[in-house]
Amino acid sequence: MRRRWLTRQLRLVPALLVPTARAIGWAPPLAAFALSVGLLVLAVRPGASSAGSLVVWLRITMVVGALGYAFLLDDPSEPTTQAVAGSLLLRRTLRVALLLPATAAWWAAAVWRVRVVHPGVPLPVAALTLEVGALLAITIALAAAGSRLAPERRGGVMAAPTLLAVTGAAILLPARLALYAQPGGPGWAGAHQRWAMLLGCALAAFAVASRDPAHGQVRSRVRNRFRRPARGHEAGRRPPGIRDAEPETTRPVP
Amino acid sequence: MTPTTAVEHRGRPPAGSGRHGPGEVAGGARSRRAMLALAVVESGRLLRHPAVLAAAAFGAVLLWSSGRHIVPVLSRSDIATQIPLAPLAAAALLATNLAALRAHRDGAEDLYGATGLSLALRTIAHLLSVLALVALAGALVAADLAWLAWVPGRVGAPNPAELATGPALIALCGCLGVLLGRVWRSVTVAPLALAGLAAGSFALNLPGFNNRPVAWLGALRVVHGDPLPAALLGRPASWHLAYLVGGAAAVGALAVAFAVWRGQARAGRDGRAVTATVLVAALAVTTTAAVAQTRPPSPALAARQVATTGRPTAHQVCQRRGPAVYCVFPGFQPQISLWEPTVRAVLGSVPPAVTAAAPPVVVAQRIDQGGMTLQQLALAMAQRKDLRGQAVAPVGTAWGRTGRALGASQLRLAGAVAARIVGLPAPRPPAQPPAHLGEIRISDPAVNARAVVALWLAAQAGPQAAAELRHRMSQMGIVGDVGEAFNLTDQPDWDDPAWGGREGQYALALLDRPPGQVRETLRRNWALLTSPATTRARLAEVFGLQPPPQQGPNQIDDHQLQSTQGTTR
Amino acid sequence: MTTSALTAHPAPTVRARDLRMTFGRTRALDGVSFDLVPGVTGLLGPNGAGKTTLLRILATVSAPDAGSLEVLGLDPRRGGGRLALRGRLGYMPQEPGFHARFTAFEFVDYVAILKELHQRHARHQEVRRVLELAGLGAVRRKQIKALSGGMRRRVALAQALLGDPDLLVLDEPTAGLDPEQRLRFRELVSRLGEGRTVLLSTHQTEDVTALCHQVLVLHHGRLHFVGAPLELAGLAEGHVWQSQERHPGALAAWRTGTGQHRNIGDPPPGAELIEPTLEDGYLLLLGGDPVEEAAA
Repeated sequence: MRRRWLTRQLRLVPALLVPTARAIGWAPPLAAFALSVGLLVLAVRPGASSAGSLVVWLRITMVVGALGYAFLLDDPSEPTTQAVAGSLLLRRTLRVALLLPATAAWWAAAVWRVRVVHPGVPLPVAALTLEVGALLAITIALAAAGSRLAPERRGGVMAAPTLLAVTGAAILLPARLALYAQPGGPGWAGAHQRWAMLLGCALAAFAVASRDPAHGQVRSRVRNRFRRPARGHEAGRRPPGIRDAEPETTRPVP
Repeated sequence: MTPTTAVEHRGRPPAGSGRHGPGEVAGGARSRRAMLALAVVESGRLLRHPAVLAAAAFGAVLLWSSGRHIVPVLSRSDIATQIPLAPLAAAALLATNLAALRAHRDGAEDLYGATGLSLALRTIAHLLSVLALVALAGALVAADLAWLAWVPGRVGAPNPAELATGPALIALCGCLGVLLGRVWRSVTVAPLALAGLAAGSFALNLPGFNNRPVAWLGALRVVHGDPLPAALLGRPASWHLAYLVGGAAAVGALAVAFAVWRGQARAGRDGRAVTATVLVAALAVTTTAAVAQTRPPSPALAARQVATTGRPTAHQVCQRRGPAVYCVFPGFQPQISLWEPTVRAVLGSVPPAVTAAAPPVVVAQRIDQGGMTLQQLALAMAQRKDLRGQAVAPVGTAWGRTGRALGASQLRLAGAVAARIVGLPAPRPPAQPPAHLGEIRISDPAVNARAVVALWLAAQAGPQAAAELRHRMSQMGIVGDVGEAFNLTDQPDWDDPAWGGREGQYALALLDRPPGQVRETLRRNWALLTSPATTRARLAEVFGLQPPPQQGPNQIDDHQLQSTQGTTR
Repeated sequence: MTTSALTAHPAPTVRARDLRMTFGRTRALDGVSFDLVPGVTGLLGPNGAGKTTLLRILATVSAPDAGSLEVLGLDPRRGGGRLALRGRLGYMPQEPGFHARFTAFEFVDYVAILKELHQRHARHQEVRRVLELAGLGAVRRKQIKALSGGMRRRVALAQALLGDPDLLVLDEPTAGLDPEQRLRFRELVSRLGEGRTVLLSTHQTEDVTALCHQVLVLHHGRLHFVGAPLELAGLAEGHVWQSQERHPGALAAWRTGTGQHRNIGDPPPGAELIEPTLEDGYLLLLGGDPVEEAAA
């Protein structure tokens, strides 16, 4: 059953590529990539530098670039395309996949720039690539969750500040749980194990948040509390004493 | 209005009718009242925005945790209120941007456009609502100060300009959010602008920029190191405040100008004139302040900084209390009562005859490198070398309040006092000037039995001091050979004694013994144990100690007197 | 209004039993049961009655908290059933969203891909067909952001017609349409209702009178009426009368074009009774609180 579902979804991909590419807002992610690389170019100058400070600047580049990803999943046509066979997860995954080449080019440019300016300093590129992948996964997970929770499915508006807040919190983590470790320091390996775990959890969260809204809803009071009624539905907000029935039609002439 | 009246007043609207041309900015008293009412509503929405609430809570936590560790020096605490308000400034930018874009996002632009309030007036209402966030920040700062004002031993007075800098930054960010909403009708611009600003401010605070005045063009300037006496600060706080406030006004005026242009309002001459005046005035203030704050610090200030580090006694006030003389910078007198218990605790384990016979210990306040350049440091060092004063026990301007911070402060002072009372020679100033800022010099380490006694005495200052000593020794075990020398503080002054690592191990072994017993033995054998000729092995015999196990490749012979050698780190 | 569907008694295409849905403390649907047969069914009800919730459940966009539902012989609560069902139904939401830069053709084509119409040539033909049906043939190359509100609703209607669905769920389809467009819409739905099941929710009682062979009246999450429009109108039989002045005991009263007042409620003896309309029956059904006099 699941394989049949998967086959059906995958068959839609070739036809969906061009319309999805047109539907994505390219400006925010590309502007974020450009801004982050620009900052990196200005900040990383020739001269004495340590691996630690270069890693800090690459991390800043990561966060700025990830901000562009926050708005990737905003899809104004979601209300109209709810009752279709092509699933939400497919459409969202396709959006992310279409942006991946640009993302790879951006990250390669950032790393290349740092390498060119400071050729002698050893850079832990693989570990940093894991960090950037995890950060982007967290961003799209936040965007997907935001689409479910924020009004009008504007996931980006919720995801961008949450990403900044989460990054700030990660900087303040105690040493035992630290994510932003110094290269060559004692916590480096442990931190990257945690990053790998975050990557997996974020991808899982993204998949869960992009589920079919009608899929197997658990009947529980807690879930009911977080659900909001559909549009056009002012559930329970009738002021007392005023009738709802307000016929707006023209009066029939007797 | 009757037709005859209209004929009489042909050519201009009848007086008192309150009618104006469509879309004029200055719309009369009614529009102004409506605008103020809108500002109140928007303020309420801003204060309830989840990002604002989260940032305010986070800022409160940061304020609490930054003021928790040291006894407040209010001329530093006012600066310390700025960074915790940075998240609130970020939230202000995002929240005001969303509010300004709300009409566009929800497709209500047409609806609002048909009301009496033009886009420009609505923009002014949004700008006024930023004041609510400024008030929130002000309340946080006031609460922080009120809390700090109760701490015993606090020193100094806060600079109002520094206190107002945090709220001013929030005003600037709030107005910027509104401007971005008027210029670009997309919600994606504000987070990117915020990221750019944050990265820029971060860059300007890095060590490469940190000592250059141009770094004042950023939003905030952090300070490192110990709190300085107010006379040495040299921060252009008032100019920076004017820079931020002028910037906020300029940004706000730009936002209104954009709104006039976008709303296609035929702004009345009044409105245009007011906006233009505000914009020009704000730009003038901002530019002047920007230039003024990036002036290099005055030579008089530089000379004062050199003199205070090189010849501190000339600038200090001394008081005798009990067995010690305390020399402090003017204004720091309340902190003497914080140091006294530590000094008494150390001297309490010394035989009273020794204390009476020896000259009183001088506890003198020292400030660390404190924002000076390398040249200034070299000058200060040259002055210090010329001094032939008595040895002092140095103490810093930041005294810890609880936990590890308190232990570290106590240990440093107690170690220096113990070194003096035990008769260790005063540390020699280093021969060479520092090669780069932040370089830590370890002077000749104190060695042999009397160094062990001094370390044990230092640990008697309190339980936190003993715990701190154990912590430092365990850090040494991780990093390097225990034969190396160490300091009892992270930022040692030239007067801070250094200690041999092996002596530290012996002191820890002594600490494991009941203190009463050790004290007794120490008092009976004081002269022997504090003689320069007594080896560690002899001390171990006196106390019945097993020599602590040695780690590392270099085995040290406890039966021989160690010679002193300076090491540079 | 076709009566053939009624008299023929075909098998129900939709069977709903005891549907329940709660949001927080509000019961949007409180034990709703009904059957739908091929033809056009109207769903009437005041704001907040639960109409959109019910339509979303039927369109497989939400799942009910309790109750059973069988649509076109399939169970939408199971993943396989839902997927199969979506290929056979069309849903027009109350507030559709679009990609503003797409043209009408491109947007409907995009939805067609999502509805698994693979073959490009056949798909484009189908898109052209539904756009013609919705009356958008002339503007299919225009960007959606350049279309008026009514035309955008017709784009939403067109995408619901893709693939010739057996079940059409339309949420307030005539909102924002001018009278001529509404007339054309009625024609279209009337044709579509032959052989298909159409459920449309509306505030316009004339749409129901003109189109539907069955009416459901939903109020506070409960069905207060299931039956033919004539029967709903018949509820007001003997309860509608005409008078010079507004009768104080009337449930609702308003002035008509002739200057007389039309009253609904318990008529006084000797009142001049008049023929009730569906609207009268609807008002009487939901009556209870006095209503302000509406301006003519």
